[in-house]
Amino acid sequence: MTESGKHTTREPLVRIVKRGLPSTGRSIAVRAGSLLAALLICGIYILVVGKGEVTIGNALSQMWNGTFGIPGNARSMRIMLWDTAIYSAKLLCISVALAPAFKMKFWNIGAEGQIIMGGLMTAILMHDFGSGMPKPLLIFLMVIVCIVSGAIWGVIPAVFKAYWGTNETLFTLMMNYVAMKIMDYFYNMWKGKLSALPTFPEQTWLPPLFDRSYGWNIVIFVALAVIMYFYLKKTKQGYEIAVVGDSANTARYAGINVRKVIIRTMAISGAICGLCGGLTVAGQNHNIAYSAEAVHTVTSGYGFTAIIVAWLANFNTLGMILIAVLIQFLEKGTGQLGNSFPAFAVGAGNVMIGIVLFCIIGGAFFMNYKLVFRKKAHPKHKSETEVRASDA
Amino acid sequence: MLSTILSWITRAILFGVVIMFGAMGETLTEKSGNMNLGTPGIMCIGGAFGFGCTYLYEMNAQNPNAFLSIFIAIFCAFFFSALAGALFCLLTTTLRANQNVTGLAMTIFGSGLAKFFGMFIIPEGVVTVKATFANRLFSKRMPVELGSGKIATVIEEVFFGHGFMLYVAIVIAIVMAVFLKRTRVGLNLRAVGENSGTADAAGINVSRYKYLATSVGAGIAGLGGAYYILDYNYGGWSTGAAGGIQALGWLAVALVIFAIWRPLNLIWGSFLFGLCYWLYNYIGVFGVRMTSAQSALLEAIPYVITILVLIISSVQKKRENQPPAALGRSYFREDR
Repeated sequence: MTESGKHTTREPLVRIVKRGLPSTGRSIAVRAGSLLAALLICGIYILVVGKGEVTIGNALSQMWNGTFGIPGNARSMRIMLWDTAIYSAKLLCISVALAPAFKMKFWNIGAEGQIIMGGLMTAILMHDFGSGMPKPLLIFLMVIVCIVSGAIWGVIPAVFKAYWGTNETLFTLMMNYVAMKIMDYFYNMWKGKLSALPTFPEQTWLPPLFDRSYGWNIVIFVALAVIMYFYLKKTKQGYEIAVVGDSANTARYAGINVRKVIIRTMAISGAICGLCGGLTVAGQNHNIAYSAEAVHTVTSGYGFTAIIVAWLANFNTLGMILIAVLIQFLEKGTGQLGNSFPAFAVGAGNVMIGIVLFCIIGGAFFMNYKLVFRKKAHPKHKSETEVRASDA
Repeated sequence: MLSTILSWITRAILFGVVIMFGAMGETLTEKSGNMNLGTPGIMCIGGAFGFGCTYLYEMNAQNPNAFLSIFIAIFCAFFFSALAGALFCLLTTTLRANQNVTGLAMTIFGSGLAKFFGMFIIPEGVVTVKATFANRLFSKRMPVELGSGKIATVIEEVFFGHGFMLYVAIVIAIVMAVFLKRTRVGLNLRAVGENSGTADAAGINVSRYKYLATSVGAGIAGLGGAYYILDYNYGGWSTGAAGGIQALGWLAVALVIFAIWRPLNLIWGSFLFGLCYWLYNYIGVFGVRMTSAQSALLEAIPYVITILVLIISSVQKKRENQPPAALGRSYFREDR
């Protein structure tokens, strides 16, 4: 920022200085500050759009009702809480899947595709082999197949990255759409002349838990978050991931086989995504989806949302639980807001989610950097910062 | 037969113009080292504001002026998209946020803002509104008559049967190619994208280049959105149209890779993508019959060839075919 050579003695008004690792206290303070800023901007937005008829408290209580149910109304609370639980768990699972890859600085933005491939292979089993097989065998095969196919879809870009340095962000992004079109093929083929694809026969569904066919999904998804926490923090493989992420060269000098770590980690990442897709098809949707519809019901678009969740939680898979619920609150809450107030019916939800995300993303700056303002010049007493500035 | 092929080519060209704008904007952005995955959202913003402003103008003016109508559409699409690009740059360059995360958040925000703004304009209970006047201007064919022969018709249809934005897009692509390859400023910009630290040491203001490239790039991408609504979609805005722009936005990101970051390749690449995209409708030309299920697989072709280009260029390791080396990384001077 000292591009003007004439003024080298004059320190810029604001300088950016890197800080050490953020302490827990600072992390919490920064997050809270970001959320407050987001609340403020969203509040102004709500007041302007609602033309003063919608107060912020009113809007927040609508959002609360849409996510956690109307307080005191047991039925509404039961419906809403279960719904929030399964979608949060699904978002959590995908974020957990992305955590090891991101920690390795491998930008897997192909979770959508990996989920879809897992879901699709499970669906093929349910559709074509569902009736001719004993149920335990069928479920065993479904789980294996979705894990393997998700892993394969994740390993393909990893191999090219490991051996030829192919840009993984763009590769995984493109793989998403290939997967979507393959699923479209099966959707249209099975649908035939019907107006929509009917759900698969009930004998192929996952066995219910808590009276819900997606009960197991919630349990497995949350368990994965706990397992991944220990995998990343306490195991040798988790440590290798961290080293490769910090510096591939350091890892190489330390004797870590970087190629192996990249491929193995992406296999894990893809496998969890695939499992999520398989369980969603078998336990929750009992169906596959068509990509041209507004929301892809197999992935719910979470392959992309999870990227944001994983990054915001700083790869801490337990912290992801909180963020996944926050995103659910925003998504479902703004949906309810749109139902209650027509001014918010279309698009307003995404605008508010965007504002909150921008605030959190931008706020993270203050975790790693601080601003140093120019001090009043004391001719006799040259401060350390001034010396450094004139050196630069 | 001939007319079928002609209509295929025409549709491919119309389609190509939309993603060419998006891809040109993204190319310029990526040359500065910023990978803006918010391009689909930004194109939505361009579409909504470009359409919305010119629609409001033609609704409220007694005698809408042709020049003003076009100017308002293009200016508003460019301006609001560029603002979104500047916001992206504020987060990634000044605040050093992760580019992928910021870009995806921008896509969510942009498509939401587009739908929200569109709904502001649409009267209650109406699904689609049309900017008829602006549509007539944007889809007006070039005034070229070449007689009635068969070859003359083909040339006329293929080269002159389109609205003016096609030619604007081609001119921008050529100018951008010259700018990046032959000018000092273009060289500096590429230096920023290849190695920001070296560029900084050479006295180039890295932040300023990133801001300008990203904002102008976003503005150009936004024109693609406006073109989508005002010509490709026959001037009609609906909430569904925003979804259509978003889907094409991802193809625009793919096209940048396919063209290995060269503006001139974007011209034919975009038409090739257009041919691929519409292939399912015209596959009968080759005497092949397909079910609607199989045609879904045809739609994957652009993505598959993009992957192939990505693989081939990285395996070959030719230095001139690589992505900008600092693509996706934030630059901080004190980092090593």
